[in-house]
Amino acid sequence: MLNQKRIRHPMSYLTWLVTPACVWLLIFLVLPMLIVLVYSLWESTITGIHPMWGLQNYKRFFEGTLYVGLLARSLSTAIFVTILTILIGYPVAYFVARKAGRHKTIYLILVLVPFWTSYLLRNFAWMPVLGTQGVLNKLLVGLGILAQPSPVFLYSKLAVYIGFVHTLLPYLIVPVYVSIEALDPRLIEAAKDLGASKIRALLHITVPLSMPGIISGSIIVFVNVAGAYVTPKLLGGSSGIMYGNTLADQFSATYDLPFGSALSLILMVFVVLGIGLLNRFASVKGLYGG
Amino acid sequence: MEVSLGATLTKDVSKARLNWLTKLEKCADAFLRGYSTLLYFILYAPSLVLVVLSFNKSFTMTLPWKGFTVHWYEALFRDADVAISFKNSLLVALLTMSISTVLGTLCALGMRRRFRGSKWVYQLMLLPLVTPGIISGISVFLLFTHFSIMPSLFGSVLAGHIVFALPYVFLVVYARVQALDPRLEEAAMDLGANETRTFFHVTLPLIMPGVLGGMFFSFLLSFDEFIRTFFLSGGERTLPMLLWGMLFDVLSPEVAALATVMLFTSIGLLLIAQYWMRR
Repeated sequence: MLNQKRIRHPMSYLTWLVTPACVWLLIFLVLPMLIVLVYSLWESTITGIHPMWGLQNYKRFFEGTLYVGLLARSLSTAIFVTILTILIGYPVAYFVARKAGRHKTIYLILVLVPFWTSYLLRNFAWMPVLGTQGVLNKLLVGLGILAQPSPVFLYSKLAVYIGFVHTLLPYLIVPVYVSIEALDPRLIEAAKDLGASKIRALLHITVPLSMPGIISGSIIVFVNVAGAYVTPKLLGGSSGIMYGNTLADQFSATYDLPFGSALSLILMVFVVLGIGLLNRFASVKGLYGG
Repeated sequence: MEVSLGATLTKDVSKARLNWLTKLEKCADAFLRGYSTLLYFILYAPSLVLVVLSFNKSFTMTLPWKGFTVHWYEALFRDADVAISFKNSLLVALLTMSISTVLGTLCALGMRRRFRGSKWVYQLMLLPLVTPGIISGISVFLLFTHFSIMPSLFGSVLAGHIVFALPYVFLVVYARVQALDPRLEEAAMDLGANETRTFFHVTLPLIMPGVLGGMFFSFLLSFDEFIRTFFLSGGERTLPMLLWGMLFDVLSPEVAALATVMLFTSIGLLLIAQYWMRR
């Protein structure tokens, strides 16, 4: 019998075309990460950076409660925002995929526009809304709900959450929409024929089968919140500082590159862990749904 | 008698129940529609506020409405900083687009058939998507400082932006490449076309919508990118960097005007992309 694998497609040398992209990513993504790893094991003193190998930067991180606390706060915020975004975004994705009827394309484009517009801009847009002189205050005072403009909206935890959920929602809605859209409607018909109510069909067919979309959306949201710099800086004020801000300060203010590198690496480890957990959750759910 | 009464009763009850369920479903659908509409409104409201405030005849970016003016746009277009930053953003975005589209398209074509290690290549191509922007920026910054290369727009910024845009280009083109029907290319070659001709006259036109999509997406991603530029630009400014600098000062409506211009640049490009990809 002929070995099918031996027959080469005339264009199989095309495989080499992956090289330039891979080389680019190896030089500007993987190599830089390795340099971060090396720097995190070096030491920074007043005279500069010295290649004194050791775990001093990691020791400094775990010594007090300051950095560990910041990391814990950033990660818990990331988890909380991710859950909130799923709860708020899923019904919208479901609506666009199943109930929007002939206006589906318009609804889809309307969610793609924020997806592709500046993240910085969409965060900053909340400043004239939430500020003391902002639109929200004007509205509440005008309606007689507040006696005078309140400064509590901007530069608060609430503002940071609003900013996160608002800017990251499209990144969740789009993949969830795609997975609901790809779902075979005959499965739901079958469930209904077998006597399942709409709610049951939704909970036992649609939601589990759209898990891949939920997971990929969640990963994007989680990664963005865990490493956030812009949102807490613009909307959180001085008390809203998150891990990303402290991390950035090591490179732009205190110029402690080795410690900053250690902070980067620790964040990366937790982000990878978080993604791993989410993926694990997905495969378990996949078994359940499939 | 007893039995038939019972049957009618059950029938009535189930009918009523069905009726009630349909009503409930209709209610739920209406609720879902209302909820989604509200959410869409909230999604757009802050940007709309920005647009409105950019036309306000006031010296600060606040209400009350003091009348319509295009003064802030005039100020914006006279501003030399804005012109330079816009030029920088445009050039970096165009270069990012060109390079990442070529690299991403080649990679997607190379991945057409599975090969030893193709899984690893795929994972590598998606790695930028799961790397927080801040870490990506910082690490490329360290790469350049380590080798004592000054950060610059067309060095470090470009390198970082291409890393960011590559997976998007790769994914849209890859989807097209996977959907290619090899019989079309075989037919062309049976009819006497050589490989080059087949590629340019059959393969490339078939994946073109993906390539065009990749071009637009990479342009937009680069044009709007902030956090990587923040670490990599070494003081040179792009539009998002300029906007960032303005945010820590007193907010004048000029900032809103700049934001509006950026917003509509993205929306315009996106609509063109949608139109082109649909054809």
